[in-house]
Amino acid sequence: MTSRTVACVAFGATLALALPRFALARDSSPATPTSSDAATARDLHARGQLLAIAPPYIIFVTGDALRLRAGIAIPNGATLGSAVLVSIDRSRLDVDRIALDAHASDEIDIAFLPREFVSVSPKSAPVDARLRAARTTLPGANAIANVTLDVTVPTNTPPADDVYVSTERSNFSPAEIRMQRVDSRRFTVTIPLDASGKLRYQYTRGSYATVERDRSGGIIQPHVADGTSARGVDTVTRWADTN
Amino acid sequence: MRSGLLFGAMLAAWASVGAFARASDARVDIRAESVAFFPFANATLVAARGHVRVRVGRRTIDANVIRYDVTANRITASGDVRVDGRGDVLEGAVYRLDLGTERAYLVRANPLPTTYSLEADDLAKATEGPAPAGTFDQIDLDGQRPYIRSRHAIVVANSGVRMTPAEFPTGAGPAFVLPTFLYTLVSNHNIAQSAEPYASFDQPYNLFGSTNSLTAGHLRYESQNGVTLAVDTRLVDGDRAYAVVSFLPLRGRRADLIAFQQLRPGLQQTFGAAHAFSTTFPSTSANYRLAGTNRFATATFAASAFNTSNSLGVGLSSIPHDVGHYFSYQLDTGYAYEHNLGGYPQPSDFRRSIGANVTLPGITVAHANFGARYDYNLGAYDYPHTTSSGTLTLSGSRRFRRVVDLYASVAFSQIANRYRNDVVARRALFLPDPNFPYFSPDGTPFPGFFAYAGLNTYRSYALRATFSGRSNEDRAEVTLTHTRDFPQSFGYGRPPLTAGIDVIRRLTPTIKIELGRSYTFGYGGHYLSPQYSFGISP
Repeated sequence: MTSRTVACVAFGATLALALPRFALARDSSPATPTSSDAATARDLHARGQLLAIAPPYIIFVTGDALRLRAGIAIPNGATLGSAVLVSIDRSRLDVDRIALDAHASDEIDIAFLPREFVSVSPKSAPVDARLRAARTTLPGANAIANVTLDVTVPTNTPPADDVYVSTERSNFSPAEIRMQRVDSRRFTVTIPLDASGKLRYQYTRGSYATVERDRSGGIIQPHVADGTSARGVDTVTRWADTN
Repeated sequence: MRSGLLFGAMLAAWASVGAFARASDARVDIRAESVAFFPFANATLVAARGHVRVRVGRRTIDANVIRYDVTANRITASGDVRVDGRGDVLEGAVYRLDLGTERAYLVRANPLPTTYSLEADDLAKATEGPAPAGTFDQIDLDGQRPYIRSRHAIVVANSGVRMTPAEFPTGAGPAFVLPTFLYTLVSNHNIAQSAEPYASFDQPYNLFGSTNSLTAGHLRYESQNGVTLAVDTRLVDGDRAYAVVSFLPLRGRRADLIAFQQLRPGLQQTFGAAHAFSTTFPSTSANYRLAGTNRFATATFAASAFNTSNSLGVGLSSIPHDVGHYFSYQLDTGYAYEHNLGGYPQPSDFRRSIGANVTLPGITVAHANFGARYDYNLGAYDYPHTTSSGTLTLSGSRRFRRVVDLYASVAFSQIANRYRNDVVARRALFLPDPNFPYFSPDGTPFPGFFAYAGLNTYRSYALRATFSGRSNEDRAEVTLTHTRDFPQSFGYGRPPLTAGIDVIRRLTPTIKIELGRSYTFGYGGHYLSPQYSFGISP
């Protein structure tokens, strides 16, 4: 074994020992708390959305503030609106760890945290976490649902014309999605939509001069497709260019 | 036409006045190391971090991070917050301001976390107490890709968000960067109205706007003119009125105006005008229409002009009326004055017309759906001259195994043009002279044209087969059309045989393409004339 090899092995061993400590100090990817960690055994885990970190306190969007232990590592990327998991020392009533993108099997929502842990003055009342979750969750951020639109057009629709769906996604481009003809008066199309999202749309025959209108020729409000329902059934009462 | 122009100008002025009336909406100026814009379906957010400075009215807010919920018109600032300029100088960990009500909440962490409720940033009148539930709620943006990234944003509620510069993350590869970009926040769908001719591709670029107007440039691809540019201005007034002016300065140079106004429920007026700057066939047209509708009928007053010809008329048409489940019908009648400078046999004439259409509902026989419709119109002029047109359309459709749909239609149409005086008819209708051979515009000999005496017959036979994928979003359509017209002047009339194929395919959740190719056979001396179409949609 050459001296260069020995030096490399020694450097590697030193790095292997030093890196985890460095990582812990930066706390960029904290592991899920385990029972083997004596420090976390008596910890309470609470999850909430971050409003501000103003040492010596961490403040959540519920308005609740928890005391931070001196020297605690603040995760990179923890910002307004981030979901964080905090480990609270039950005896000292302070937060000894903050983690992003982490979960604990015994975590509770910050809204249900016993009030004795909350440092805000005067103490806020617990809020309904389910209601808050509904307000802070993105509309179907990832899930896509297919919604089928079926429309019946007026009897005086020119027989050779195609029918289009014009949606707010294209800022109501009049020839956005060409529908499939079912028969002389019925058309259908399937469009992808956020599972819990909504989409405003209207029907045209390919131009704004042929957009759908109400029975008296007035402008109509767009229809609304709901990602929670798989089918939308509509009837065009009248086109802008027909009586 | 002059009154129509006046109406359009008044509408534009009205909408502009509306824009100034709403100019008091707060202008929020945000500068930071990073400003991100998220236009979600039910919330529009601007998130900024890193030495953030927000100026809104007389107020300046400095913080580490801010969120501006444009939909709710609320600003939340977090981390080393300092607020100055409105009332007292405020410092704290969090500041939440409702721009609509000027109500604010300030959270201080020292010496103890405390929440104050403020009016106009006046600490002397601040009350200490927890904020109502939901006051500080935020949408979790972790892992969300912004629509636009920037360092400077100017937000005018209900009007627009301007990002300077504007960087569009693409997810893969480099971001697309523009010097500046305006995202309109006008929720009125009429702001999307357009006066421009149809284009296969149209990418708008918003230039400036207000709460009820938007001016945009357009990069377009038109099958006739190729790649071209356009600029338009749109004005809206709720669901009552809109006006659009557009200009294509390059290829296919033209200007268009359309305007719509609902005077009261059931009564509306529309105005349109266009000018094409063509060197071969410059044209100017305008039209005005006033229509009133009740439960039974629509009454119209219409005026139109095209170069040197114009017309003025009134009409009455019934609402489509169902007779049980058997059929539905619609009747119409009209009276009009028509003027055509240099027209033959006389430049001015009065026209009376009646018309009707009857539609039979779909009938299902052996899993196939059949429909029928007949249209008839009769017109009589003061100078002895009558016109009539009748069209019968039959259609049938059938689905096979949810994969293949067939739709077939047959249309017969006959248009008759009758003069009592044969000499006049010959000259007015350009009837053939048996003493001279007749050639079609493409040079093809057309002896059958000698039989033409003012009676046109059009026959169309169309068959469309649609092959659907799992959803009917992905599909291929094959269309075959045969026309048999008389007279069928090759080169001017309809091509006798056309075959086309369209393929519609969703590539990603946000991009769908439509490719089309069609051929005409034996038309104008050409036996295989390919045509292409291309479209992209979300």
